[in-house]
Amino acid sequence: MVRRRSCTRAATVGTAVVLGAVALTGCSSLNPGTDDAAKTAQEFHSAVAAGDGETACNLLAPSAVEELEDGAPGACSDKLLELVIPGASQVTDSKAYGSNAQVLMDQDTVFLTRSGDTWKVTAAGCTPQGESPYDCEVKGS
Amino acid sequence: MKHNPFITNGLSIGFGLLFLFSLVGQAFSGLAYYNEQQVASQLDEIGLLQYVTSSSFVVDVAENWQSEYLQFTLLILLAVWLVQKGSPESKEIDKRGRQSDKEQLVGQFAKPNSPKWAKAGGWRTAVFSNSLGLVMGAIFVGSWLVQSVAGFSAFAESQLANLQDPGTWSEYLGSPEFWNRTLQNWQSEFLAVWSMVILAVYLRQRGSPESKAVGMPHDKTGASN
Repeated sequence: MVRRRSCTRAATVGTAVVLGAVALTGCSSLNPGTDDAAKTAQEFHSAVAAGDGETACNLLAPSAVEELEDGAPGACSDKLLELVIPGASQVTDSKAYGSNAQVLMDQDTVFLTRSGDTWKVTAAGCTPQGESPYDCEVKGS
Repeated sequence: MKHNPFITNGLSIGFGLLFLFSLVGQAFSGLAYYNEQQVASQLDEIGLLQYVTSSSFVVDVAENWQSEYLQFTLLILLAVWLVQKGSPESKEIDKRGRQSDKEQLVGQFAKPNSPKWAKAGGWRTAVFSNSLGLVMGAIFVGSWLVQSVAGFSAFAESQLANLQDPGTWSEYLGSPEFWNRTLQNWQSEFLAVWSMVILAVYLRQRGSPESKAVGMPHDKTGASN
């Protein structure tokens, strides 16, 4: 009888621990590194504003670089600086879910993806289109 | 006669191991699939720990858990009042309902070896009398909550990848994505229980307590092997 009681209690505690762990792991992945994503978005805009295309291109995701170069390797820097990307410096909000992030800035919305320990810009110069995807000057495929 | 504990606990050990092997298999195959997509996007691959703590893994686990626990919770609770003539999953037709204290061996009718809370009376007996449904139901609610949180995170991640706003958790609770994930699991669980209840009226599995004895008549209700 004693054994049955302790087993019931152990099962209840065990269940609570498992659920708690699952909830924790689910929650821990909700907003990983929003500050880092915001910092990368700011660095990207600073580089573009300073005319430093090379630094800005290094902050882009490979798919965005490919899209920008459009079959002309090495053309990223020049092509990026030709685009009309609204100047932005202040971050108003940033959200990160899993390996993707969105940084809202005073004059722009920037999308990023996580690669290893760093964030890379997948889209910038973006304007909202209601329920449809943002229309972006720079974007990866 | 004293049996080896591996024999007396064989069913729980067997299913415990099947659960662990399946969960580990899900983790490794899910990681491989996730990294295939990362490589296709020219992004760094992730490790096992990062994957098993990701929202996409957690939502896949939780959405299956909640539906399984809902299935058993409903079967436990509805079978108090609903019966099925001829099914070993059902009580006899005349035993519908919560039954008397005498039939349930509670309070003054408890046996010397009955659980302590069955004898105690008051709130203890009331809680213990419903403890199976309460715990199974609580695990269902908890799993569903985890599914909603992790599911929102995974949904928001795909929204961002598609250059769309992520939305909020409360918006996600009313979204087709959440209800599609939920209902596609529920329908399969309910079908499985329905099949089990009906098929076990006419079919047999010799030696299984989930079946009537092979020679038992089809219309004999509530009998197991």
